Amino acid sequence: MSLTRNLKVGFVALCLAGFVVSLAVVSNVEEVSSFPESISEPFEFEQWVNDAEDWLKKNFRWFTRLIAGGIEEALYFVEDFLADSPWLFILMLLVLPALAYGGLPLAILALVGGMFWGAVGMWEASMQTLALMGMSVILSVIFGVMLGILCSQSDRFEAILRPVLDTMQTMPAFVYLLPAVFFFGIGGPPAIMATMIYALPPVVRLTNLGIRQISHETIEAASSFGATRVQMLFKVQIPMSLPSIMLGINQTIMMALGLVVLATFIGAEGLGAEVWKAISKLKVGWSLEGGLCIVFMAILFDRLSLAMGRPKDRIPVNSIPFHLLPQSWDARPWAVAVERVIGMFWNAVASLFGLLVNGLARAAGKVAGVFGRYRGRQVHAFIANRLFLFGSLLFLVAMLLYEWLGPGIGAYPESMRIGIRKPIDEAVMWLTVNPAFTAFTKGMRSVIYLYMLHPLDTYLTHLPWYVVVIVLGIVSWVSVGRNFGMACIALLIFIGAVDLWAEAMLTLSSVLVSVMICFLFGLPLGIAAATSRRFDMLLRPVLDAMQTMPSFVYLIPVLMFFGGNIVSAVIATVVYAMPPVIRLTTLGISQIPVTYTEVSSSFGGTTLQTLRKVRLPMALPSIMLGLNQAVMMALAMQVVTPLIGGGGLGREVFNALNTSNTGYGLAAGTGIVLLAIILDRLSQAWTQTQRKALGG
Amino acid sequence: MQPADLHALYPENPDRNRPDMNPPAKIVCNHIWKIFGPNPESTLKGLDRALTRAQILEQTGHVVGVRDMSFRVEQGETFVVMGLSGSGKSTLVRCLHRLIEPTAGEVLIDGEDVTRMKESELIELRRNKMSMVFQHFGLFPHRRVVDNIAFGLEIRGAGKPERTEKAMEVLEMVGLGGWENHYPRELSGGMQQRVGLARAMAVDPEILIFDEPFSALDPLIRREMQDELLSLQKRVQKTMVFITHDFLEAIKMGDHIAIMKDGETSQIGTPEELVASPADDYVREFTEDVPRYKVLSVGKVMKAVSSVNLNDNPVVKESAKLDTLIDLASDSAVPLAVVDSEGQLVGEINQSMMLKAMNSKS
Repeated sequence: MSLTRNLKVGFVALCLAGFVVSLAVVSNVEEVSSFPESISEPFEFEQWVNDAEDWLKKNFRWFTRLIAGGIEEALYFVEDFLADSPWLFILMLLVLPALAYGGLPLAILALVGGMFWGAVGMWEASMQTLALMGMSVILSVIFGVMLGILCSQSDRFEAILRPVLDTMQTMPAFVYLLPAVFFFGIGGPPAIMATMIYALPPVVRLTNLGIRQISHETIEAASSFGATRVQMLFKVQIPMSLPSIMLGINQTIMMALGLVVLATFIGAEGLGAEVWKAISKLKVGWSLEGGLCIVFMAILFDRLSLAMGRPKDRIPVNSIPFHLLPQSWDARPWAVAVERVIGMFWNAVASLFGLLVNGLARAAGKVAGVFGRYRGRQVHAFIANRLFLFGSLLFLVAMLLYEWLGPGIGAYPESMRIGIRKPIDEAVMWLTVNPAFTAFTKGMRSVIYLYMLHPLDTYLTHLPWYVVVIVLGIVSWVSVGRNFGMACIALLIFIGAVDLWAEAMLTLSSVLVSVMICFLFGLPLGIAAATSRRFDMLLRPVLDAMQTMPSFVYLIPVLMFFGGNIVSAVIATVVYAMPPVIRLTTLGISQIPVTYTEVSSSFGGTTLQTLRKVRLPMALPSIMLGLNQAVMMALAMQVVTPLIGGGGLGREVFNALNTSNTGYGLAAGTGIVLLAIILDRLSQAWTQTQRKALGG
Repeated sequence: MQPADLHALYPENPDRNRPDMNPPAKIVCNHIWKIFGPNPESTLKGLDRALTRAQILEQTGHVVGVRDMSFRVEQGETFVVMGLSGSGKSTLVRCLHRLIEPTAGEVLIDGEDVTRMKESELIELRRNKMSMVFQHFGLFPHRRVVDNIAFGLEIRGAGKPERTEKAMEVLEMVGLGGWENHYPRELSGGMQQRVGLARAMAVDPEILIFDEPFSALDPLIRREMQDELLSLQKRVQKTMVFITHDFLEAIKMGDHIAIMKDGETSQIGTPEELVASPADDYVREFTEDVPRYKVLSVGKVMKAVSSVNLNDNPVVKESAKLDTLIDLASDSAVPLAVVDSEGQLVGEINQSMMLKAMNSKS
């Protein structure tokens, strides 16, 4: 006991001494530590990649063109359909499913969101994003479900695919853009290819999971009736795993939207391009419009796909169905009154469409009746039982007829435009000249820069490269294992060899500072949410919304308040990476069994003591998982932040994508991925250690 | 319906446990083995038959699920396999239609060896000849009740009008008319198992397999379902194989009972045979909870006499269960005369003989 204690003290003292020595060394070094040219000179990674790309272009152009061409055709078709159809028709294509699956609240969200796209003049850009997203999601789902089914049928196939999926999910989104450019050039097709592959894992996983978690007895029941393998798959396994598959599709949609917006870096059109244009011209109002369009799209598709996967709950027969307000409000008379009015309107519409659909059903039944009475009755029942579906179809067809034969609907009318960029710009202008506000932002900026970012960055860049490599190598060895320690050293040397050492250190320090600030704010917020129910209720929807938004959107408010510079980049990263820290802290604390806290209070422990001595230590594994996620999200953010002044590897990727220098982009991108791998494995190992310490 | 009535329907056959002695029975199992593990076949070949299950596991790393089981099930009877959990009874019945592949042995259904069937023949067998009711019902949550019941017909390729009609008919039979458009999760456990039963009946199988169908139900519901199944069986006369871990359920439902332990048969016999003459302590332990007067018949406990003057005494049949005689015997000062099915006097029985027989420790 005392020996290990002494060892521990000695170890800490050694670390401290090493740190002090390194500080002394760094403060005496004027020069930034540079990687020896003897290694980086002959290692022309960039050149090799570009040569390979040229070779590929020369010899396999026909092949990549074939794929890209096919996708491009399809994309144009979808885009034209979305952009050229009457706007109300497209809007209803979103609102009606929302109404069917999510009820009136979701339909209103769809209506407002869709109107907003038009109102701020981004209808066409929204349609382009929708087309890109739709195409990639469809491809992802097709391939994902197929792979998932294969996984579920063959253990060997699953064993092969699982590590691939694991790796894919730790990679930041933009990583997928680089090889897409490498193979398919720039524009829509590579964006779709990249997005399809990036968004694939959740569908594969959840299809596989959905099929595999079907109870053994159900499978046995089906085979006891003599179901063949194909019958089993299509009549039992796939239908039963549909909710799980829908959950996968939900995640896929959200990931796809995130990357499609980002794909503007490789020349894809749409909302991302709008925001990018606006940000690069420092037009805050314009970028906010684009950002809000993205947010509406994200929330709408998130809620819609979740609603589609949920089994429909039945409302008790004798209660008024609540269309708009939560059912739990039926104790309040005013809510009942509101609902009664809505219900009357709803019934009127329903009975009107009921008449129409019944007419249609009878007519179709007559026609089908030619082929036999039973067939006729079947068709009649099929239509008559699907009032909503056929009512909606009638409505949509009527709209198209009005467009073609009547006066027409056309594009979103100019008269309904209500841009918000002017008031926003004015508000921002007012803020930026407001002395109190500028004092606040300036103060915050200088604190972060002078006391956190700058010293850490200077320390890391001035420390001789081999010291950093060796220290990180040792840490990896101790935390994960010998092999990973060696791999870590090799990975870091690669970063030096491609001549990106200083950039990598800058990225590392930005990420570390961001994560530190994340914890500074996230931990107390998470604790507060775990202790106060009310605060949790307040925070939850905010976090939900934050987690559905693509990283891109986070730049806009930061740009609004802090302008474009390296500290803004850190602030945007902090905001983006904070939700998992809060979430997992809350989760970790609230899932501790009540018994433990009761034990503590029964011994007379104060709330604070209980928190410090019981709840926080027991929540540590969960909090460490939060650290892991925050680090990964912060790294993913590095490619986006150059738009508002971020530096480091991210900027190099960004510049390379802009200049179509695939080799350089791949080098810098690989740098970020390597950092991601190292930090991911390290933080996961720490999580494991914590979990083991608690006997989990 | 009480077991007593069932026995009236199925006369005894003394050689029934000797597979080679009888005209083709509905199901005949000969020396079935099921061994779980990486190399079941080679393990079985080199197996020292004297070893116990635990020893085999220790020496070979293989688990013996079923060990050399042989039995036969006659047309129209209910054959119960009774054993505690882990005794291999579920594994055994799954070998009948090869939901689990037996390692060795043969299963003859109507004289055809199931173990030699090709995949396609096996599927035909499952589709047409036998169906199964599961412990946790095994209903498909994504299908309405009517579609659950029609599943077997659908798999077989029946058209929609035909299978819906049949499903509704069976639904009425199990007393669930009106519930066809509900989903299984909206039904209580007892109702769900009725759906499971209806699903099995819908394909008009010759053989029904029940895998602990009632053990997931409450005691009261369980008894109700048992009684209903008995009366249903009286009407439809299917061949049934019924698994249970509940000895009382076994003697209530079964014409014959096989008691399993560690994958082996401990004893096969009628309920009465088991109660009257348990083969070993393991079987005896089960019989201790049994209300013996409901199982034992007069013939088993009477004193054989041939020509004594019992002409004035009350007369009872040899096959009558003790519980039907309690009133008669208590009111009678003289022994009761016992006659066989032809009315010939075979023995006598008095109150003290009956009381002694009811004492399970005897």
